[in-house]
Amino acid sequence: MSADDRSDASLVVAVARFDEAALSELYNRHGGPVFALARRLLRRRELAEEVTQEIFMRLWTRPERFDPERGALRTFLLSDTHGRSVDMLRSELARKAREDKEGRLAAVRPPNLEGEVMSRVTSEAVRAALANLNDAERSAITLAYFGGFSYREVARRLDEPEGTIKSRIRTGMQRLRTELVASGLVSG
Amino acid sequence: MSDDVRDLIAAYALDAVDRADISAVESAVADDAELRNELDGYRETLAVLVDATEPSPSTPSPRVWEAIDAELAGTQRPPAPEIATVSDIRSSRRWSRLGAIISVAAVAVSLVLGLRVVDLQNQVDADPTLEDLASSAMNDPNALIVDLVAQEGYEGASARIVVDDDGLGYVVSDTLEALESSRTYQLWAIVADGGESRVISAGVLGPDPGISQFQTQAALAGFAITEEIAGGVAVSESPAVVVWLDES
Repeated sequence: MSADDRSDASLVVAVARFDEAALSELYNRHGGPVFALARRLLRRRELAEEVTQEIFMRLWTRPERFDPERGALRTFLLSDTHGRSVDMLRSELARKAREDKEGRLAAVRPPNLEGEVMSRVTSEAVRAALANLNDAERSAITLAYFGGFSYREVARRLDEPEGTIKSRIRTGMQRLRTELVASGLVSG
Repeated sequence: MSDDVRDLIAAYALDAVDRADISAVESAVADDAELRNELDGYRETLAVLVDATEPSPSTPSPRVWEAIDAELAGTQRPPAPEIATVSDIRSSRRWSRLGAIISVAAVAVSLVLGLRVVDLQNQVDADPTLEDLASSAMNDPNALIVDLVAQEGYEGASARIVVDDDGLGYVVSDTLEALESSRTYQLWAIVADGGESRVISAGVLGPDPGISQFQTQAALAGFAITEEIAGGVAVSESPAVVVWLDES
């Protein structure tokens, strides 16, 4: 069986056996979305490429971190990518804050993150699920996930109590998941 | 677990939790299957959201794969599997004392490439199940089958390991007591390298091991299983629970 006929889980097993062709196939399947998410968060191609390289090298060196029972490989890689990108983003922010306290946020964050996210949605089901959130939930989730802000930073930016933002994120994510389960896009 | 931590789980899925709160959330997730399911559900939801909001996924430049490929080439590759048969093992150096096993563990960090393990208990899709693979290995006339015996303080514990002709090993059965979720059993391989013994982590087996698979890459001289914190350790200072040593 060639590498491209095999499931992601089988390819990860092959990666654990030092099979470079298996890693190459996984890169072909998931490298684009990994890079796209990193670039969306970091805005800079060279940083996004650095994250992409790091994510696949981490899969090579620590394949056992992926547990197929806890979800698809794509989910695992995107989660890893988001975490690493946020770490890098916060480091960049800290660096920029040291260089220029005034302009640090404007330099790396778009002015209308929520609008940008909505404008990029191509799936009608996902658009409907997002539209079903109330404005406060949608703002909190998009700022946190696509802006890379902690919930405490989101609270400060929206001038709301931290507990309120924490609750909005949770209720919003629960609602989003329920909607996507109902539309068959995620497992129940 | 406090409601405060439970309320943080969605924010944690979004990587929106401060460092100060991360360990509390991770500890709660490790101990609570329901919370873990909730976290996995949020991550799946976010993956769908990401896929649906990238109309034409950007393409990394070819230099990214070139850099990965170069890094792979620079990775120290393990030698081809050397263990295969009982006779090979029996000709290797004799190990006389359990103390020697753990005392040489300090060299393990630099040797992690010697063995890699994948816990395939939950392998999916149409591949043969782990039970099938382990059963096949047990029926391989060239396979090495060994029984790890209890050490002092762990009376009643045992484990059986089989290593097939290709160097693939399986923990096929055990009588290890189930641990709390914050703990795990960890498998160690003792390998012969010239005149020296080395102890290398062969993988984390979980708090209540089932069948696990691992890959061997060097001449085996023994196995040991220790009890460690969840996630395992690079170097163990714990006493062995069960051990098998090649006494030939």
